[in-house]
Amino acid sequence: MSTRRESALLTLAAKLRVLVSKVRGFLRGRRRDAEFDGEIQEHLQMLAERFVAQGMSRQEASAAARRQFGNVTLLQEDRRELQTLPWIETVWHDLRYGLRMLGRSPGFTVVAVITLALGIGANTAIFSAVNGILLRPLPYAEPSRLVSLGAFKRFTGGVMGTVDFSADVWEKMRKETPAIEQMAFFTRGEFTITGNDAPEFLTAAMVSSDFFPTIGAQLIAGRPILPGDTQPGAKPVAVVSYALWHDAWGDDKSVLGRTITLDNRSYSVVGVMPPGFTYPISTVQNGGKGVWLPLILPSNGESGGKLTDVIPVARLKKGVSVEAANVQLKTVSARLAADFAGAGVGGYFYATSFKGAFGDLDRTLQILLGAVGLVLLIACVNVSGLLLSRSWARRKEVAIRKALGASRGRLVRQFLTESVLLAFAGGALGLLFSYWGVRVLRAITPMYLPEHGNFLLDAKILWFTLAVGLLAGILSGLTPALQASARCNGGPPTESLSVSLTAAGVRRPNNMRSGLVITETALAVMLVIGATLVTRSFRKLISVNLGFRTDHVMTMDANFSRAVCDPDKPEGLAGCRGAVTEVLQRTREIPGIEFVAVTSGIPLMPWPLLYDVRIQGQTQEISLNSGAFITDRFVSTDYFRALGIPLLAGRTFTDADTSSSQRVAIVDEAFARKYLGGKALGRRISTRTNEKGQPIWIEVVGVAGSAHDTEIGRSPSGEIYLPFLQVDSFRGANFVARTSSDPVVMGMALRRAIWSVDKNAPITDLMTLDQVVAVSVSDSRYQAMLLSAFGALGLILATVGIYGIISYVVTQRTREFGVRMALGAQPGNILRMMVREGMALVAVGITLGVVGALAFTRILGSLLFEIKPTDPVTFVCVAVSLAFVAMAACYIPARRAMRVDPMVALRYE
Amino acid sequence: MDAKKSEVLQGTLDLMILKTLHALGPLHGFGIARRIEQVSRDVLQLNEGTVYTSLLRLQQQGWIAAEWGTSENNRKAKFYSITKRGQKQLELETENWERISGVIGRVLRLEEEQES
Repeated sequence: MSTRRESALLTLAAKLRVLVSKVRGFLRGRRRDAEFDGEIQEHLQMLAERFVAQGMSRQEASAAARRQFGNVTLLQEDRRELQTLPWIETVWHDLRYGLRMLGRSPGFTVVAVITLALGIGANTAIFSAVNGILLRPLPYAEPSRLVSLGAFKRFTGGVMGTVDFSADVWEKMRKETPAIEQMAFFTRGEFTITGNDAPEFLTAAMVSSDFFPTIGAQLIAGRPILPGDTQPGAKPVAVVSYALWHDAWGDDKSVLGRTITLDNRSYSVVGVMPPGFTYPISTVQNGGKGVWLPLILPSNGESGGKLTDVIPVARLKKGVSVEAANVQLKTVSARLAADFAGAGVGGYFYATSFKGAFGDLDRTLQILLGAVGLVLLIACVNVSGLLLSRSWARRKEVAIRKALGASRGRLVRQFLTESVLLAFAGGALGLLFSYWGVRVLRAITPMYLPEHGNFLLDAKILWFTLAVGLLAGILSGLTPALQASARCNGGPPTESLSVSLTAAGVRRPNNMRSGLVITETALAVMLVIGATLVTRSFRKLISVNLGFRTDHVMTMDANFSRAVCDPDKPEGLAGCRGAVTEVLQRTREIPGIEFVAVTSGIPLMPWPLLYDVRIQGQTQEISLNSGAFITDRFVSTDYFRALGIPLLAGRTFTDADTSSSQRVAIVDEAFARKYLGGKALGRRISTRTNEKGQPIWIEVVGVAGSAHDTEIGRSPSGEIYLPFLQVDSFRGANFVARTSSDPVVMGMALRRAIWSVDKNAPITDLMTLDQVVAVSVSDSRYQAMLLSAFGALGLILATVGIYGIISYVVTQRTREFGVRMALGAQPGNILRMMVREGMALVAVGITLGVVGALAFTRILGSLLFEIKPTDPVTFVCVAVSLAFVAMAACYIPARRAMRVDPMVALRYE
Repeated sequence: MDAKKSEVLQGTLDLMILKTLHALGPLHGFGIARRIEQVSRDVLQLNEGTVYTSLLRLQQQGWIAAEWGTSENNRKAKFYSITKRGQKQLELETENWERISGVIGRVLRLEEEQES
């Protein structure tokens, strides 16, 4: 045993010794070379002298010495392999040689590098968006375990997503649901920073003390909200968001302990959140500026221990899926139904993962990544074609190297080194392209993207580019390399050394080129079909008849200060109504404003759906569960006229519809037809219940035209309008004004009118209705724009590629054409033959591309509007137009073939 | 050049060079080639260049050492000499060789006997 181990050790030591000497040899390379050469020369000389002494002539002797000594070059190669690290040497050698070769044909190099740069640049740009949005982790600990808990409430206002809070009931709920590890609550609020010149609007989240531990967020300074802060009578404290801290105090750490005045109340700043953490205060407008305040929990004695409109969030136990949690929640909700009812909390609860927060964006980015991947593949195929042409031009060089003893692997390595060099140059240029690409992306990405400014080029992106470049180099270089090195395997190298190979009839590397044309066409077809589908879907989306006029309408959101309008108190509600009436009054007098109205929700802005609606005389309520998407919004008299929504039957609201008169409603045509059988006037419906749980009946007095006012492309299943003077809850006032002149200018006048009523009212979302529509389709526009751009890029690359390959074939077959013409072929025959051959390949490519597209466009499904992923019109149109483009790409070089002068062609060599 | 053949040849060449250096003391490449030529009496057709490959390999194993010196006709030449480790290796290889050739010889004789 021990001897064996000893000998193993010895072998190891020997190997080490060899390695050390190799490294030393590598480092001392050139000197060793010289020494060795000297030794050999010496030996040869001595041999020759010996032969001379034996009576040979000097010349004979020297030849005989060489013969006896053997192949000096091979010996030197052997020596290098033995004494140095040949791998590094070859790579170094290949690199230098590759650079020289690329420098020798700058035209080829430039085209190949730009092609690859386009492909790699597009990939890097999209990847940096993916990196900034999808790969950047949410600033929470283990976000996959976080859920928001929602409740469907019955007849208590019908708003989804928020619940009424009762400490006892929730405590029970948490105890009985084992899936939940920790739970917290928050509500959102709007505050105004006062004390400054212009009242600034601020979003706030009132959070329970377990909020920060549940979310798992780390502060960058100070402390979170602690249990002591949420007691009634506690000193008011605030945690501020990074953006607010940065803007208001310029990253000054001494901010802790200072005060911030919100709605005339002072809060002491105790903590600062890290950048990127804006949950749940981030909105379109505020740029992440906001505060977290303690949610003062009422003691059980006070108002029954209840809080309204609270949003619960929970952290699930490790390894529990959202689905599993929902199953538990359903049973627990059923078991606790009595408790919930007693606390006024109805319905059942469900958990939604935080991950869905980005909506379709991750889907979009994945699809874009796929698209740029295709672009890169096309670029690689293009470069493959170029390399193939070049390797044909270099076939003599290859033959010579083979004759000198280069192995096939050695040749493949040489060619791959060159293509990887090309790809790295392309990658470097691509990085520059992607720098611009990212700027474009940043400009056109829908503005509500989370942290959309963060598409920075970081180390991850550089690694990505490097990897893509390497991949592209190998992909584009492998087939030409194999082809080139295999070319003269069949016969002795002398055959390929002789130039007669170009003679008629020799068309060996055709398979590879055909493959490239087919691949290129197929990839382009897939890419263009995808882009066309998305673009057509976008066209359909923006040509939807919205049911209201979007031009010359200004919209804005006014948040009256608590002093003027406090909807939580009965007398405050009167203040709200008074303020709105006053604003409407003053605005009507402004010349240039035709109609002005107030509404609870501007069309196409996010707006909650009603959970269920009851119709008098029918036992079954219309429920969200059964797929009914019904919304309600309060409006003032001129709302319909301001938006150009036609009144189809009955009457519009008047100033006589007040809180003391009969409650009335206007429904839209869809609702009237679907749920009221077309006879709407005089019918009674209910969307809310009173304190006793009985429905509050409202009489339908009018029918308005249906409007796509919740989401473009989703036909509304019903809309209920209520006169704003009759509603009891007041969730902010949105003003809409139809103007006869520039809506933006008139908007300023409207804003002044609001401030003349309440000088502390922050006004946000100043947008024309056209802008609102543009924002609501921005996702689709984004997809359509980018995919079209990539589709066009792919198409151009593919066309250029096909053109390049066919022209190359023509050059290569010049002599054949000459022979054909000498034998009587007409120029037209040659042209037709070339186009026919090219188009045969294109046809195969298109067929494969269509099949591929059928398989892959399915993933576009959810992004498409009113168009199927397998839309036959799109498929046919793209296939036909691609065939035409490819035909042009074949035709131009084929014409050149036609013009071949047989005499010149036959003398070609 | 067939790889297998040259390997076998070089293995034996290594042994021959070691033995030569052991017997004659420091020698340069040319001298080694002459010695082998002389001893093998032209039975072995040797590409003299391969002597140098062998020398390199032996050097790497640390079995021989090289030193610059002056040759008999006053030229600068590299002289190779066997090291202690090389002598050990030589003993080992010689033993191996004798054992193997003995075995092969016995096997060949055995076949002859059976044939007769």
